[in-house]
Amino acid sequence: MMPSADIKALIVHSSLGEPAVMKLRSRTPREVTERIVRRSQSTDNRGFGRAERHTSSSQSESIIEDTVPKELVMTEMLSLTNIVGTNLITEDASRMLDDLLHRVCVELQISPTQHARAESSYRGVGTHLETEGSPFADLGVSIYAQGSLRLKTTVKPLPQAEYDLDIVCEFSRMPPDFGLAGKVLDDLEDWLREHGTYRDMVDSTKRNRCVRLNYEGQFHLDIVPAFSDLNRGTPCIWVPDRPSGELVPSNPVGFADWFERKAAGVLREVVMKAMAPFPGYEPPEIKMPLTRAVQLLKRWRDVTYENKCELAPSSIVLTALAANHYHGEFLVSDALTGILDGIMEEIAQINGRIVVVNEANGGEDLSDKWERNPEAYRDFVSEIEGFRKTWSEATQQQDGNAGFVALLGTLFGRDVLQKGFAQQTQALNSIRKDGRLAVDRDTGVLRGSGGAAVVGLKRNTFYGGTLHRK
Amino acid sequence: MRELHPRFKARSGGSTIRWRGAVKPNALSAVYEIEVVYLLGKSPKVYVFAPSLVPDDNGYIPHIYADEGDKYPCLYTPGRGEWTDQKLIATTIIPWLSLWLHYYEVWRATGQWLGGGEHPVRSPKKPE
Repeated sequence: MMPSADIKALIVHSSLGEPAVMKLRSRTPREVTERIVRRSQSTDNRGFGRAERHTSSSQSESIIEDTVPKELVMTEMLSLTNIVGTNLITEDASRMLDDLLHRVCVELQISPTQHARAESSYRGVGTHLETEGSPFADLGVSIYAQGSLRLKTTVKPLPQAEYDLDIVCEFSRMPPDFGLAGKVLDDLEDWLREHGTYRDMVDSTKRNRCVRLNYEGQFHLDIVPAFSDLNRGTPCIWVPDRPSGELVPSNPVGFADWFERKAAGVLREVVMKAMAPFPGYEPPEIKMPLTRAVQLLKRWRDVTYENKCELAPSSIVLTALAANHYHGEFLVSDALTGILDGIMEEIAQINGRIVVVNEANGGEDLSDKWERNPEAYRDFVSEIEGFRKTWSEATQQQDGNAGFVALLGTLFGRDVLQKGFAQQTQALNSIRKDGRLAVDRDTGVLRGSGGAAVVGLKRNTFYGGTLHRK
Repeated sequence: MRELHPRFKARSGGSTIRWRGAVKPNALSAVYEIEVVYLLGKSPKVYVFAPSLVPDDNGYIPHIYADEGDKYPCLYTPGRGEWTDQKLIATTIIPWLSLWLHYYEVWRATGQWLGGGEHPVRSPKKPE
């Protein structure tokens, strides 16, 4: 369907992508959207500041963002659509689905307590590395999270395994006797073993780029000893690669910043408003839709590749693919649909395999595993098609909650889906308890009380429960 | 009834009134065709006939009266004033049925009945 002029204008003037604008537009009367478009066109940046931002990578990019006019358009649109505000989630399929997806992700991600423990753990490692006698004591230690912990896209690995958390220990100076990369890793391991606490936690397997500390029953910390890249400039670093004996360039902070910019393709306020809680309804933690989409992709990967993990796409590939195909959708479900469609389109249009590059690290090919292992690529293509198909089925099926939950369960795991769905109704129960549940006069849909179109629910206690004889 | 639930159609014969309508408890649920049967002097019963209610592997559905071939959701506990013949079916039975169907769908999806409720004191073999 060709977008009409008003939709095109809304896409240009707002921070939402086409799918999100189409969806909002379908819920808003035309005269309202036209009014908003006229206002945004007339303000035309006069009197509004233009924000300029320089990234901290060595290639200084300046990003000029017209954030203020977009805010104006979006806030106005949202305040006028029935997506916002006082609808109970049961009234809107998209929001019911999104509420469920947020709950599933919360279930999968590292808890605030564990996050705090992880942080305190790696700070402790940093302290130990600066202690007198340490081979790293005079190198200027800076310790920080990278990967899923930094991006907030953690997903508990299967089966019930512990979180893999990635930490960088960046040294601003090189040791004078630097030889092979493997020596840095060994020195790190040796110094960790010098400490009573860490001695038994150091994992004995020699890894290519990091040293692993096992925090039994909680998480692994994969610590990468790195050096500041004075040529490319902060935050670029060099990390050891044991097989080649050399240091290789990396930029985890740059990658995280790049990802954050993509995730900010929709304003946080827009997302919060879309999931705006009915008074008294406790929503799950709401995160940016791109973040949630990445969590779901990683979980799908874990479930799908449980028995063939050598073929599994890496987390960074999935993260970059998702970010590349995200266009500011404010619903997680729309974001995921858009990302899956985008990936499939990219696959269809390429000759050979798709290449996922790291824009923060000089165009590094994150997907080079597919070069070495073409079977893994073919498998990925087939599995992502299956994902898209099942996802489509789930969002369009008419068989009721059980069919819907079962289909999503095949993608993301049955237990976590059932748990999230039950939690949703438990949140509704508190509305019921407060006597603020009602039903729609026409359809019987559970709604908030108040308004002419509803019939309030009176107190009742279900009874019966005898065995039903077939 | 017509005012409160305009889509329901009534039929009466003798001392029985029946209302037929459709109910969809949440945006992702099925649409259920239901019939309320009210025999004057008795308590109203609601039947769900399409799609039919599906029991679990033990043949069990929570909070159902199943009794001499009759099968209908059990929407209120007798003796508590939740239903009396002074009350309107439109403001009690129909909304309660919608609520019951919501919990029924959630039970089918998760295995848990989250709607609360009570069981009669004397009941035959409990399911596993």
